[in-house]
Amino acid sequence: MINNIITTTLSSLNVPVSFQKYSGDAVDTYITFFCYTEKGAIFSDDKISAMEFYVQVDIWSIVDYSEITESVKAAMLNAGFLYQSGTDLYDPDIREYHKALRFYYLQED
Amino acid sequence: MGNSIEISGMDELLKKLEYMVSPSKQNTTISKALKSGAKIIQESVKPKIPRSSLSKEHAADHIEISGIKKKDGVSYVTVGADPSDNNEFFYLKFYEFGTSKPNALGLTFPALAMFGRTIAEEKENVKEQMEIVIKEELGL
Repeated sequence: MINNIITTTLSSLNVPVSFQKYSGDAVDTYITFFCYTEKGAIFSDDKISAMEFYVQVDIWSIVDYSEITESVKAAMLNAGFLYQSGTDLYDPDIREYHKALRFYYLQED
Repeated sequence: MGNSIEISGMDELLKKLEYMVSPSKQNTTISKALKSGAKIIQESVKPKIPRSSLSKEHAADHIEISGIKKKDGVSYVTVGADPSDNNEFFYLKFYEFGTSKPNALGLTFPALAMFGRTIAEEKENVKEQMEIVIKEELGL
């Protein structure tokens, strides 16, 4: 399951990782992720033989998140994900930095 | 919004384009193909963008296709609204990437990844449409 793969991949970074929502008490930095598209990529005999997943990994932080960004990228690439794009965001209302990273993963049966 | 489609697998067609027509015609053809592909993204993303019930203009009414741009010798177009913070529709980036908790107005923006989803879903259609346009222009 894609969620387990991502959670396991990012678990070594010593930052809380959670699917969709985070409800823990980390103050500085935490990570959430979700899959924004999943679909069949390869078909044989009218069946899906490979699935592709488009994933967004979000780093939420009140401190400099440069280092954790690079660690997330390295861990995901090492696990077989392709890096697609990244966007730096800041929301003054919640005073939080938000780095959105997007990855692609092809999973064959 | 930071999402992109890199079209590959059209090498043969692009070679034909290079050999069969003048540089000027090549540029016109690539421009038409890019705009035609971008039109698919534009039409597909518009209905995914949330609208309020207020009778006013929304970001969905301002999803525009840019002119042809060039970077490192590669031509491209962008589809979207001006993402700068002083633009009236800057909130699109929150819909695309999400926010973590309610803002001062009590509004949350869960990530909808409208552009990301559309690009993932429409990639093959964009490629097919671009191939059609190039072939038409070459009379193939």
